[in-house]
Amino acid sequence: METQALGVEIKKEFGTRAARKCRRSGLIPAILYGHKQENLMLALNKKEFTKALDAGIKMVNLKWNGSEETALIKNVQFDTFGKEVLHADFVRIDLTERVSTWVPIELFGASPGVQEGGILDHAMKEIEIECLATEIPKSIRINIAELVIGKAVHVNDVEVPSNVKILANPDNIVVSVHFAAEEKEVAEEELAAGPEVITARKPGVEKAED
Amino acid sequence: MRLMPKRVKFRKSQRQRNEGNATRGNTVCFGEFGLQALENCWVTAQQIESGRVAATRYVSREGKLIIRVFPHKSVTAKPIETRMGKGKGEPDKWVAVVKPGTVLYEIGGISEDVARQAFTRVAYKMPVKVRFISRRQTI
Repeated sequence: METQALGVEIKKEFGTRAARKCRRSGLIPAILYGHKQENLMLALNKKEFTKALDAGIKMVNLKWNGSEETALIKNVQFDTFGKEVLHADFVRIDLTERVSTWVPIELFGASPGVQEGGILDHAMKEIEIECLATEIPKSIRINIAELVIGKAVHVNDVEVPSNVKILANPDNIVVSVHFAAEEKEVAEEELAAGPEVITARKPGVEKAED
Repeated sequence: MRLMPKRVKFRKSQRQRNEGNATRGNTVCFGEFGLQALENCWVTAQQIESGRVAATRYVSREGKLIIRVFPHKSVTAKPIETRMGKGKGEPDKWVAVVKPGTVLYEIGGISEDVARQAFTRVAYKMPVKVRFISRRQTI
């Protein structure tokens, strides 16, 4: 797994106003925690960090004032529209420890089911795995060349390297091929009648007397 | 297939204010690409259905289209040439309350170009400005 070096500053001020000020100056407020050490409040370059995120980087080398720390990106907060990064969480890691993270699932091969007119339903696009921090795979590839209509690939069918453990439920469906569901025809009368009203008084039922 | 709730507690609802941004339902969850509203509005069941038909016809039943909004709210109207008063009108249509950031539709199982083209057609049916978004990988 690739590691990206990120230059950061230690943030002395904290709180909403300081975070907003930080964002206005083109930085992202962040926090580094873990390994029972002191939490560090950081500010990092927005452009650099966004670029790393888009490249699918999970591990970073945070550098400040001659210090360096390896960390895993734990959480990233975005604005309402998912455009701007608002905050990032980093967790300290040891390169020899096992970490849990999400990796994308890639499909390859041509499914005969799709060629016959079936619909490919890629239900699980990412999967949670546990492995050594240095051995996080970029993605998990699944061959769908033998996937026919009515069949599915479950989590327990997914092949991963020996040092990687899948944390998802083994019975969950990753990808399946099925026929397109037929649209239900709703009668005009049903539509005109409108929904059932729960609180409506039923005819013939009188209000209970006290 | 016009969307409408099966059961409701009350037939008529008050209008309410539609302010602020969407804090839920603002990310692509089920498909690979999405259509995100950039303004607040009421999207009617008819408009949701028109969008669905436009997208389905373009992709010629390939891929999977997911509608992320549902018209839970009834909107009443009074008959034309009626004098004011005599109570609230009768339910006229069903709407989904949409805030900026809400993902209206999602699509998966097709290429980005096709998804863009399909959502361009859907955008014409929507009463608000929308934008095309892609799925973001879980951290």
